[in-house]
Amino acid sequence: MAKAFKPQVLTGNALHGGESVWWTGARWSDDFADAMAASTPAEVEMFEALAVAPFTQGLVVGAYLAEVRQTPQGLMPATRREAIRAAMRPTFDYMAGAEEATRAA
Amino acid sequence: MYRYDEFDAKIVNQRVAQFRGQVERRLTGALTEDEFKPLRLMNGLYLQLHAYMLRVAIPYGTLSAAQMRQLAMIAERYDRGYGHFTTRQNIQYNWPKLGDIPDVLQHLADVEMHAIQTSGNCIRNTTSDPYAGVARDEIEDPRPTCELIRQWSTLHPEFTFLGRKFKIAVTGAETDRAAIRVHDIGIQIVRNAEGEIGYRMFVGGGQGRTPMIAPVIRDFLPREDLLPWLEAALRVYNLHGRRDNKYKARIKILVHEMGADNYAREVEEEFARMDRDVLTPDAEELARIDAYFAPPEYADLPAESARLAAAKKADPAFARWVDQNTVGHKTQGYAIAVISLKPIGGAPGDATAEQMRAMAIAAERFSLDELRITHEQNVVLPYVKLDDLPSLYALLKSQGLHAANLGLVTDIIACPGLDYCALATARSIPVAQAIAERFADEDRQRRIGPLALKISGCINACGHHHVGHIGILGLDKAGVESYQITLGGAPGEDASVGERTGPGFSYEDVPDVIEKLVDRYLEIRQPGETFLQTYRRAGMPAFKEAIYAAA
Repeated sequence: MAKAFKPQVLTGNALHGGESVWWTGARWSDDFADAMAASTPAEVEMFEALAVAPFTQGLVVGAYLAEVRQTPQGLMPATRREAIRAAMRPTFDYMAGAEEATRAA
Repeated sequence: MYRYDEFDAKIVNQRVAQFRGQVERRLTGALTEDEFKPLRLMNGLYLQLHAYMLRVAIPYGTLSAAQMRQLAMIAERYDRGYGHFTTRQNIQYNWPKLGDIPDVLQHLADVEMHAIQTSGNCIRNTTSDPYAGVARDEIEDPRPTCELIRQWSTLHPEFTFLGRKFKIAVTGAETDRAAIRVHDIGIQIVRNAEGEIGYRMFVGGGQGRTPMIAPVIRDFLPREDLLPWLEAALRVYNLHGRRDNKYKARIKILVHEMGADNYAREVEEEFARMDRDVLTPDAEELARIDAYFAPPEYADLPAESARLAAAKKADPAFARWVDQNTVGHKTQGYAIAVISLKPIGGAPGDATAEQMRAMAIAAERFSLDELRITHEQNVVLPYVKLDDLPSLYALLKSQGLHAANLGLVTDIIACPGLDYCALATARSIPVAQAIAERFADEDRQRRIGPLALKISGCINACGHHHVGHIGILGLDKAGVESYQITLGGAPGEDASVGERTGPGFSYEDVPDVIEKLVDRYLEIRQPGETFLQTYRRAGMPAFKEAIYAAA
């Protein structure tokens, strides 16, 4: 039996800054909300080709496809790892933590 | 402290210039990522979840005040104002940009530091006892040995493409504070029956997915044979170690599969065959290295400090800090002071640029300009006069560096975990924070006593969970974080690998589970027993029952 199709986004890290980026259909964005989901096998194939295309290689490091879920609020990353990437930061308040330690005096 | 000679300086500066060219070629598209990746990894530059990560080597954990200031400057100018001290006595920056890395490396080279061999399948930074040179139980200061290994292993052509990474640790004391038995090679400085000082060589220890305690491969190695013997030990590994499966490529697998006796025999055969003279450093070079680690000129001080006693009496919090975070020094009137980087609510091992500068000032004023990073992610000031402890404490307190929890349940080792790391399967730091908050009460921590809690966010075990008295391993079970608990691990001279309690627990349940384990220990401990001792006496069933019994 064929596996149910799961929508996917094309993502990677920006070559210069290293930040997470997503393919919008026209450009690379550092905002997950801009991501375009491949919703057909043909689109997935196109993403796979784009992941290794010279155009991508010059801008993005380690491009890969990541599963997403369609929700009433829009696209959501399907895994915690991808959710942490989409948030662009750790899940704990790392800056405040550092500052708090300083203030605790 | 060791100072670079002209060769060290030349190698490091040339390497910066070389990498600058490589980065430029990558940014202009002349190099593909496939071509560039091995080059950046050779310079300690990883790509993690959110950004690049630069791992900087801190040779055997030793830093001068000027070096610490430079680390602070880099954190501020090129990162987000903080750095992360690691379980291998290094520092990592979590947010640098690729184009800035050559400048960062140049700033490091300016203070005799680099990021060479902090990644890749080569010999990594040698780690050591953070109390080197000042511990009471030391046979010999391990730092000259570490420095010799650093020089030998840096850019070693034969060992640049090993089957897997290779980690060496050295201790000069009976008490093993460097976890040498869980390293690829662990070196213990020992004295033989004739009173000569030499090395006991442990080979084939490690953590990761197959934890192993290293067997002794050579009980006594004369001092002058160290480098030839290491070369023979690595050569046998390089020839016979597996390269077909990265999970079986570490030397521990080879030693285990060959058998320690067969491995030892091959090493000794190679050692006998090789040209040892070319590898034996001459006496002049050894003396040059030794001179950098000569004991400082200590002041002639009384054993007791009236000033310290009065300050302890006046401030109970200070008294607690002194009792918990200072260690007996080999020289009368001095203490080893340990700065905990584990404040309740903080991320284990993180320090802000401001805190790094405060630690540099502390080193300048109170510790003969020197600091050590511990594999437990804390910072040591090795030469503090007892009289200076009150002033040191005031300085540390002004920067939130005064947590009095050394060796207690909140002094948790944790890897960066899924919050940063591309390899991680679960979060570590927030788990550490939740446990630390649960046990925040200082009196309760003290009642519990010595307890090493270590958390890894994946099977690679950077958080040393296998050798935690309580170890926590975060895994991904069908998209959900799940945490396995191990009990009874220990990293030192009585090293052991922890035993799994059973099925894992959810992210939310971990603090409760740890509390139940600790409560059970408090119930059943005999007078004077530590958690580890109680576990070793009472065994797994008593603890297992506490966490799996029906509610």
